[in-house]
Amino acid sequence: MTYAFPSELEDLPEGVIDFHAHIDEARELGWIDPPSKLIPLLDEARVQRAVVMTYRDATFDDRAAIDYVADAIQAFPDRLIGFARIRPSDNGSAGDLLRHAVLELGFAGLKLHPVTTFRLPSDPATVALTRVAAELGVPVLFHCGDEGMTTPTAIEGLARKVPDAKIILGHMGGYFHTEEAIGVAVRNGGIYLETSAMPYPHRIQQAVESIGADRVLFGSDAPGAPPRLEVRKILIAGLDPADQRKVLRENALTLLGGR
Amino acid sequence: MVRSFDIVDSLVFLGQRESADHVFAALDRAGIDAAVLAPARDRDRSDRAANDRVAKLRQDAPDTRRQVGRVDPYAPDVLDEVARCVEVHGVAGFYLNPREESFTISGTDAAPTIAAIAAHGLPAIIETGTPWVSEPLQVATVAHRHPELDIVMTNGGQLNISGLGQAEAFAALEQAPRLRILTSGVYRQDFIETVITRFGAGRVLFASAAPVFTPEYEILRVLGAECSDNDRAMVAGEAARQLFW
Repeated sequence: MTYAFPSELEDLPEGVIDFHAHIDEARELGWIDPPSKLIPLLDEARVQRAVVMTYRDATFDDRAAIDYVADAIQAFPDRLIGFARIRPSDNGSAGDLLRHAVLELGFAGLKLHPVTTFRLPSDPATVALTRVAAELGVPVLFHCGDEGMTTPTAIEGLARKVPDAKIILGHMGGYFHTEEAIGVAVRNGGIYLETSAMPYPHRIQQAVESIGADRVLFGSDAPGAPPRLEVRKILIAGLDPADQRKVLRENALTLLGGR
Repeated sequence: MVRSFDIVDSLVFLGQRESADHVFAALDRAGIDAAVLAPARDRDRSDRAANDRVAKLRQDAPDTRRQVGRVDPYAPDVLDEVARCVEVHGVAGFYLNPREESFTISGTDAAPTIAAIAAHGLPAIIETGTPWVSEPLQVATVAHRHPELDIVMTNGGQLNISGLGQAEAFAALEQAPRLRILTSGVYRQDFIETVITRFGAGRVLFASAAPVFTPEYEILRVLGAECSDNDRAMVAGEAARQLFW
């Protein structure tokens, strides 16, 4: 007998926005994930749009990662929202690249991944880049997990130096730092928590109870973590319908500022 | 939902922090048919007492519940407890947690305990993925020392939300044919699917690790996996039946 995956997504609000998805062709990792792989995954999860970023970092002199996303958002303007994954620099060039991505290519935010950039979030280069993001009015999505330099308290150091930045803790702390992530969000009003990949639905409810629903965002980390699975985490979390709509869509719209 | 296969949860923790009724209710909500019960680390830190408590709970539904004994290699009576779990409680295997008990799985301190478990011919579930104490390649080292021992790594053999633990988990599975993984909390669905494709569904067992993770969510990793129905049935329950029943 063929098994049918449970389809209880009829109650999802319209226009769900996935705040953390990937498109890239990182052959060294074996992760070949072009937009054509992502879009059907969004469709089956009833996700209207996704914030997308690469696995690779871009620099001023090597813009392949920026170009890849730029092409994708041009090809799928109604489905994909581009975030620039950039390696912070000591000479200000990373900020110039971010300005180019946002002002000229229509990107809507910055992605930072300290595991690949080897930069503590509070180091001067990252602070400078984050200040540029804040000036541009775009949010900064961090990989936030259990590895050194990616933990919530590591990122809190940046939030304190750039208090007007909107900083999103992607994966909201991973396996062992979700409680810490909630604590950082309680202490810092510019911190948002994004739900992708971390395996605790109850932490989503705890996050909403602790900081309110306005700073919690649905993300999947697609395509590795399929949106149709990740969105169910939000449903299992047991939020009331108004908070669920905020997490699944409205908070993203606010952060993206109409982009 | 339409299914025609058994769902067996290969790792459920019972302890003093959350009531057994609460845990079993969560399993029921997820549609789980049977479970392998392990003691959580309790406040009294007595594995003997914890194993006794789980044994009582197992007796309430012996056909659908199996027990694995929890032992701490540093406990002075650990080898006696291994023997007691087998002789008195008829455990179906053992559970070792290097992170909570602060030992290195491949280190000399754990060696006598693992040898004792292997001598009984029972499988060992090993909490895997913590750096320095239970890396998948350290578990593979144990597997090499004891080729007769069936070892099951929790969490897909990795706890890394960057995906950087996958390579070593794959390497461990490649090196040790009797090494298996649990699906509990695994990062990236395609990791589970790749293990099924590369190593066979018999080496992947569904587990929720309730109440650490949520069974209602964890089972979706298996139910939503891109694999054949036969493979899904194997992962969902047959592999556990073969190992623990």
